[in-house]
Amino acid sequence: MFKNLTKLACCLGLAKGVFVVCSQNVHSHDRLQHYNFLSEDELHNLLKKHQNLSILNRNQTEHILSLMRESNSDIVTFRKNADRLIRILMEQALAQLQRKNSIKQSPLGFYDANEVKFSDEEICIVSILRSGNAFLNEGLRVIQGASIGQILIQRNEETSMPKYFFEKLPENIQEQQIIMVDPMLGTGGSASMALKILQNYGVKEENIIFLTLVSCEQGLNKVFKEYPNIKIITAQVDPILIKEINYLAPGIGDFGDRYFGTVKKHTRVVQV
Amino acid sequence: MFKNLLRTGVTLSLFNTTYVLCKSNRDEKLPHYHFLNEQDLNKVLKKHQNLSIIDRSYTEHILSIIRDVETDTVEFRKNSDRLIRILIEQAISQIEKKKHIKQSPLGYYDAHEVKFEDEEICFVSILRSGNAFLFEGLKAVSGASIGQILIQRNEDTALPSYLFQKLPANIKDQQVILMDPMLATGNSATLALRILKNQGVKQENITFLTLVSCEQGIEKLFREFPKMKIITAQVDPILLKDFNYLAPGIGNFGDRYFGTVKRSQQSAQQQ
Repeated sequence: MFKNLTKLACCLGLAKGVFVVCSQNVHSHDRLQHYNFLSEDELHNLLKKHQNLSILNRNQTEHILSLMRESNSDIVTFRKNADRLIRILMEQALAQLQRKNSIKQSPLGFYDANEVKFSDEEICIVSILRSGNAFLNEGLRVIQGASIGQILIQRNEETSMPKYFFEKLPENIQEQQIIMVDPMLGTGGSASMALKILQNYGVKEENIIFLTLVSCEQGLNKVFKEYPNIKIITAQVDPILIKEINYLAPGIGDFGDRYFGTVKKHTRVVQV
Repeated sequence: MFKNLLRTGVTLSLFNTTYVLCKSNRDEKLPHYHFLNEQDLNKVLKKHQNLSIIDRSYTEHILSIIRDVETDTVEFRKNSDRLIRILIEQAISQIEKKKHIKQSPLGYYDAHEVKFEDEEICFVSILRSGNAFLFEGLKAVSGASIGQILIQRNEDTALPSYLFQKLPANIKDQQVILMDPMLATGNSATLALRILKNQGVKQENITFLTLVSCEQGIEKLFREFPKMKIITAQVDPILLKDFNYLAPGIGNFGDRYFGTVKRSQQSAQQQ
């Protein structure tokens, strides 16, 4: 009987040992890294390097971005927070448009009126399809009369290079103030291609503001090198662009899939 | 006949002159108000550590449209809503955050999120004008509770009187965002803050949002409630003493937002 008990105990011990070893391998937690955001100093250096770059105040964005980044956030939470953040970005873009002075009358008396120099119709929101279209919801709430331009650029899966498919821009776009929108700025390949198209239409760099939710130094450097006179406004600069797959980390995942609800359930692969 | 024509001519030109005189007199009576410059604003901010003034580049265009007498109800509401949303985002950004570690599709990151649930935030609106803030407020914080305090200015004494309140039972445990579009003498706001104090709300948990304010009102509030926070879109230079109007001001915000005064009837009524 003692021998049997010993055998039993051995088997159980072995079984447990195997379980522990296997479970450690199964724990993918060990493979996932913890990414730390850029410090205030690093962000400061970035802002010094690029005069035309604005990064939104962390107080306004960290809560919202945290909810968007989280894998478990459902689509309603994701959309609601994306809309809130996009609204903040839009207001910042409008705050940077040129003003003109006039004198107007309030019920009490006259005052100095500083208003945006352009009417709604002179502003064009150019969206880089498909993800850029998420900006149109809030964009049209703020600038109801804006014209909308669309450029379809998709990343080729194998080469990771952006490919141009289609565009529809207003005829007189070279006379307009452009607010170009794309949620993520990774390598800067797509943005650069879109800016080239705008340039071909005669749009001047100074008239372009590029809005993006999450970006990285590499993308910012590339875009500013080719188009130093545009303005870029971003909600947060992520620390890492993973080279092999060109993903921002920690990133948001695929913004378009998450906002439009087209994420395949079993897929955990991320595109930017 | 010539005499008659002459008389008609003289009468007409008299009318014309009278018209011209009257018209220019009417326009000349209205003064031109200049806004506070950067230095003056900096002094106000230094004096009151708990005061925030929203950056001019966000607000000057929107406020200009709201102030303009020519602006119709639709434009007034649209622009008020935009400005209110900016104020609310600023208020939320100042609420305490807590830190944890969360997971994105790529890996882990440091999550800084507002410490409180939607339900722990309470928008307290000073009726009637404060209610304008609720539309955008609920868009930003859809689960917030709403408290209401009705205070109206007594026409004879010009002092505010309290009429009604409906506040959450547990309001002393909540983060309170008090809202009223104009801050002039500060009398109404003071009354509302005393009501909140009686309900056990701590000063540090109160943020007061207002579109247009003046130094006098700000000073009165901070003297009695130094620990609360105030966020305003712009500080107007003048509080007209006899009528307690802000100048240039907006006019009567409630009437303009809720459309209860036609544009042609707008005389400067005040909060």
